[in-house]
Amino acid sequence: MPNVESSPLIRVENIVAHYDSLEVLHNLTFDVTPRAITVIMGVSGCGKSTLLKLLIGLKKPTSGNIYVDGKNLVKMSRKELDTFRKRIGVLFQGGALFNSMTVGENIAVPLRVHTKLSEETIRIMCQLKLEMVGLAGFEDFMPSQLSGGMRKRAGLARALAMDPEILFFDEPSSGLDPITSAGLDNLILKLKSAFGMTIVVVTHELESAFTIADQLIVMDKGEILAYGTPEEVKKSTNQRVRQFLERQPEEKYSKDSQFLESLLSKA
Amino acid sequence: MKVSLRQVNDGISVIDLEGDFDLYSSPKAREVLLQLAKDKVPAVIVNLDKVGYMDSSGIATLIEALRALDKHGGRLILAGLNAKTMEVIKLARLEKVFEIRDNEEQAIASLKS
Repeated sequence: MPNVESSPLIRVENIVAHYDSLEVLHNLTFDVTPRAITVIMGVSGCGKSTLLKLLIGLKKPTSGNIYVDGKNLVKMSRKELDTFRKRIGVLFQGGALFNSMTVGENIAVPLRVHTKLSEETIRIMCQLKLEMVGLAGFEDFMPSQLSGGMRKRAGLARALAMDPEILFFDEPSSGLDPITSAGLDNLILKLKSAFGMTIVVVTHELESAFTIADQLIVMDKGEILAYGTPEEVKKSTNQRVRQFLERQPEEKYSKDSQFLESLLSKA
Repeated sequence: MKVSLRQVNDGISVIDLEGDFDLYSSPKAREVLLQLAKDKVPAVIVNLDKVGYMDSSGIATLIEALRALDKHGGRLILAGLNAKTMEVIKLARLEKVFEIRDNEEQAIASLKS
């Protein structure tokens, strides 16, 4: 269960990250509030997926700290990381299911590995998770027999298997039709409310972000441009934030002369 | 989670749960509930008054107990759910599957009626 309501569950402090020599995240600082939905949004390539990898301990930052309940994720031993990962669930973009297992077996895996629950309890839990994501009756299907949207929902059922304290979503709406997408937003809200989950969503879908977010982080080119409640972000006067919120296409070069210069510099 | 069992009149067993009903504690509650089903007790009230948090392993345990008791015609009543635990039951769409009463007294009264 998360700690005290008022203190952040995750504190990101001065994070810098690189891919080889390229700096992709520049000195990011923010908090993730417990039992709330934090949405990290921005255009493709803004660094939000890299940030997600840091938050789940899949990538280490070049510098900076990420505190989870006061413990520094960046400096955790392998054993401490394993303990941390039992507390989290992650829904990856494609669902990331094991293709050689049925949907039901995919959901049961973490429960069989990490708990001492009886097979019957595990079986009922799998059924409950499939019911929650609207896939009741699909437990014996193989992932290859499911559509993209169904695979994503099955991935969510697996992410929920251990009733995680913190749930991370990487682009939950991508590839989903509007109705399924709205249903997923609704489910995310219910999970927060019923289980008190802390939820972090990475997305570029504006409508979904403003529907579910308690706090929003708008990123661009590895920086945080805006950070606050949806109402606060809506009022942002930052030009790039306005451009993103108003869905204006990017003007790469403000002047023709700049375009010409860029061509010549590569010649 | 603390699990304690007591008998009230007319063969009604009450299980008092205290703490978090989750992945780590639900096997303990399961053991007690399934033993009651094995003993073919006529009615079990699960008092959730002091349960602050229940996850899906808690629900799965209650479903298993419901089915096990039902095999000999026994009844399972959930009592004292707070708003959060009720929400979990609703999220799993089980509010009509379980007999749910506000508190132990109401649960006992419904068993006697």
